[in-house]
Amino acid sequence: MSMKNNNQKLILGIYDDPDKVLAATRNVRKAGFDIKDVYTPFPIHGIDKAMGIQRSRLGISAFLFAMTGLLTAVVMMVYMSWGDDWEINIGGKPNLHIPTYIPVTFELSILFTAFGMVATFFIVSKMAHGKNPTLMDIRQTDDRIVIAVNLHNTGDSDAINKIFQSNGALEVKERDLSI
Amino acid sequence: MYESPIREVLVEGGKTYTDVSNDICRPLENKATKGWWIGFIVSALVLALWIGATTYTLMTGIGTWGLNKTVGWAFDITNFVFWVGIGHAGKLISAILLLFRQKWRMSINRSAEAMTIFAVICAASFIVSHMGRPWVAYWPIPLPNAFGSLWVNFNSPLVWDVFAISTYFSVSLVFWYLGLIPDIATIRDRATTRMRKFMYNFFAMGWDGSARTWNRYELVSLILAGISTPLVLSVHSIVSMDFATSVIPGWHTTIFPPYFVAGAIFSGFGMVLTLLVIGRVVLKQEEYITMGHLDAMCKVVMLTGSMVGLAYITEFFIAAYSGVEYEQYAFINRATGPYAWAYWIMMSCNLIAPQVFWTKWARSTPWFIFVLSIIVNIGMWFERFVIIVTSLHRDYITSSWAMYTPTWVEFSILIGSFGLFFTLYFLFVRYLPTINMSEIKAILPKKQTQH
Amino acid sequence: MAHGHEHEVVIKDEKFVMTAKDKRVSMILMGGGLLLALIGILTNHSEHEMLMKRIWANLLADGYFFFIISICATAFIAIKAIANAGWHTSIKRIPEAMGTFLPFAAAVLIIVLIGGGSEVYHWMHHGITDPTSPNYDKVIAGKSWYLNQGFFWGRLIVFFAVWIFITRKFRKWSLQEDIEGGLSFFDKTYKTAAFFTFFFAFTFSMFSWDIMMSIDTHWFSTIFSIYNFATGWVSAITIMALTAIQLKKRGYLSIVNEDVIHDLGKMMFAFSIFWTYMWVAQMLLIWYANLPEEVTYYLDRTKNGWGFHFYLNLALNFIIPFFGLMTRTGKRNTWWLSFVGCILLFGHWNDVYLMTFAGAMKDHHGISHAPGWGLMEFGFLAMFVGGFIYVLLTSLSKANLYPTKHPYIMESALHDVGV
Repeated sequence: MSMKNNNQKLILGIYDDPDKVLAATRNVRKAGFDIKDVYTPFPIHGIDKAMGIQRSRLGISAFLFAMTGLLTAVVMMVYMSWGDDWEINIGGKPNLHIPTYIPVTFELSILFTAFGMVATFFIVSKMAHGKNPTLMDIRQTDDRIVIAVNLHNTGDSDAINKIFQSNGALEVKERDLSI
Repeated sequence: MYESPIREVLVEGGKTYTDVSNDICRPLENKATKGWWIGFIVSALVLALWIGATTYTLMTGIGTWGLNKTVGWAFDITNFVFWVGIGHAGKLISAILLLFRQKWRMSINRSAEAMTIFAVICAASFIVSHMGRPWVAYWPIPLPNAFGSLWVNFNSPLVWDVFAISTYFSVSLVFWYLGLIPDIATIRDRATTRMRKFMYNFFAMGWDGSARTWNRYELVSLILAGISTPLVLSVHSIVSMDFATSVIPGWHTTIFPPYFVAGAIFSGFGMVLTLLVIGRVVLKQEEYITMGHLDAMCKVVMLTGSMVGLAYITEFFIAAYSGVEYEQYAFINRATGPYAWAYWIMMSCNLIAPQVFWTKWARSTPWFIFVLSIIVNIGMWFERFVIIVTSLHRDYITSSWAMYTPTWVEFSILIGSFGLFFTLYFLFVRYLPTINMSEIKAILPKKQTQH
Repeated sequence: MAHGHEHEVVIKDEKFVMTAKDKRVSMILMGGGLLLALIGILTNHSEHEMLMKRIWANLLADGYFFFIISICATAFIAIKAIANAGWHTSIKRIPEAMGTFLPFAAAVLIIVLIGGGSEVYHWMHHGITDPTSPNYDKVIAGKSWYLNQGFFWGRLIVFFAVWIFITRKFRKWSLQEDIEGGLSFFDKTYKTAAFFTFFFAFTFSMFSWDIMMSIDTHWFSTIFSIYNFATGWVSAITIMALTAIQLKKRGYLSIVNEDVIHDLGKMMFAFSIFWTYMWVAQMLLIWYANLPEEVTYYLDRTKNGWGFHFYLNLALNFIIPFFGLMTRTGKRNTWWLSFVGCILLFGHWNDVYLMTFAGAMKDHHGISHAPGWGLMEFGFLAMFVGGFIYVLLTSLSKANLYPTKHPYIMESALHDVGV
């Protein structure tokens, strides 16, 4: 991949305080710079608004998976208990015994929702077992928060550095990322 | 989020982010302690008992148990319901308490969820062994049979159970694993040996803490919690329907679904307390699992114990009120019949004993909490024994009345199942963080975080 | 981030003024409702006994419905107090005000029991426990140790007294806190709430058996009390949400942010599912076992014209809130939330209606035919709604609209649901 030599220049601001990160993120965005991402060891409340991240639509996928599960369960049970092959008379109950379909329908809806939504999450977030992450700083999963800004124009470096510093960055550094 | 100044801090000792990582990773980064080895070996030996007794049962058949024509379900199903019940607190802590914004859950949900998974494994083992012929355990799965299209019976609560327990187990596992990913990434980035790096890197799925991913992650966790809440309720409700859909007096009663759920939460919290009162000391986590946490859990135990007690009394009352002779006899027989001792153990352990948690002293004395948590566990085991055995042993026809006495094989499997549970738990403590680091870091009081 | 907004929230005394229009609307509802009901009664051509049963059943259903709503408002305060919850503090005056309807609802129930008890309740029929009487019923005679006038009234009066006493105390302490501040009222409420929750769990069970379950005296179900609690609880929360939305619309309660409304919407959603869970648990188990002494309850409620109400129950109380409140937008759009809330309330009224009427309207053969909804039902319902609104708004106008010195008030004002 590095053969393409398609390097991405980044400027990183390293912090240890979520409030400072929020302020820095807001200011960097306000100044019109392109924030690549903010890497944090724990979820920061309000960072999505500061970065301008849209609300995820994974909820819709959850609903669709739930409906798939529901339909699968109902079709399966109706087919199996109402087919013309072996109609079993159990306790004189009708063959289309709707009340007893409730538990299995419920369970399969939940099962499909959970697995479908989590799988979608992994795909959307490009996560896979054994994948090697590109870390900005080895401590970003521990006790440091990193704001990574795309440096489209080397001249912007100073301006961003200033915003980072004035919002209490512990360290600011530039980095080339080969993609 | 803003916190009222009158609230107690959830993490004591002025921890910084670095401290949290260091404290919680210590048990799995350092060499195993002597205490861990002793605990692990003892558990493994008890597990060996389980393996031996279960193998003997499978090779010989369930004739090795004390079952008879009248009492066809006894220790096996008692143990199954007991373990499944314990498996509910984990999900409750992480799902329902999350929805109710009870932040104290954060220090305990990881170990409680682990407990859920191990307890469900124990429970499933009883289902398989009580089938007698476990090599045909796939029969309740809706597969076409070899001779035509004879399908499973969807009227049967046992088939519902198969769906419920397997859904519960797999969704719990996914939920637990999802919660572990950020912490596994933390351990990956702290790892010093190649082997550790490789293993934790494999399971971390390339997690880098991106805010975009966190944003989705939080939504996924919330939805998973949302769907897990009715799932927890449904699983034990369906377990209760194994009994309640029948027409056996003492089993057929409409309160069973919520009553079983309350009982499950009660016993689950009992087990969480048993583990954490010890674990917080051994793993040096007193500042994370504070006395405030124990206090809150004691209150939950008291509340759910009273709910269970209310259900006992409701059942008894409605049996008397119903005017149905069989129903009335079933309950009189429980309280005064040959198994009355079991009934009174159940009553005193579940309804009466937890009432001591009304006092502040009881809620703030760890050794006492530990003793009481054991009492709760015993009481809840006896509850299932009472429901199952005393309802069955007096049949409609007096000539088929019988008594049930367990054999050494059944006792061995019961005791051995604790070996299975604790062996898994000790492995968990050694290889995974027992407290959710990323959640704890997010709730540290503000002034604490800076050096 | 919450810290940034702290200075924007101003906690100040805020008084609700009941306008002439509010008074007029509730008076019109009460008066018009009574008029409609009277027209309904006068134009009714069924035999006298069935007509009397229908009138008493109406009063009983409405009285019971508003009673369980009011007592569940108190239970809401108690449960939130022991859970140490803070988010709801800014709307806490609404359940406190709802509780002030309790004495009125209790009075209605007492009047119905005295005036129409023997019409509505099978076990209060004349001579039912007397072996020499033609009315003698062996099963009911077997229940007379519990269902007898002395014991029945004794426990009912104790329940009413304790519940109303504690409800008033909760409100009184809360109002006093506005003036004196400090943590003493908070602590007192916490301790009393623990006792109340414990006491309520046991007594509400008996109360629901006494007032509702004993209408069909032969029948019994252990889950019945929890099912009734679910009905009252979800209705009470819906009324809290509706009231908060209306007050905000008039420019009051600026302290209640949309996240608090969102959480109320979540609770409406969650407890609609909880109600459905109870509904399914009772119905499925009874349907499955098919025991004659139990299944009659459902036969009475699905045949002879009752089927409509039975299925409407499920549609209004499960399907509509489930799909309507599932999304974030559904819970945050106040117009939509109010719309679904009104449907929910009507649905739960229908539930209580079905529970009451199908048992109370039995003829000499022990069969009840659905009379359908007429002027009487809507008239009495309007009368109760008017009365409830009047009491609620009057109580709201007598104190600050939110507790200004509650230790959790800032948490509630800055409440944020997160994702």
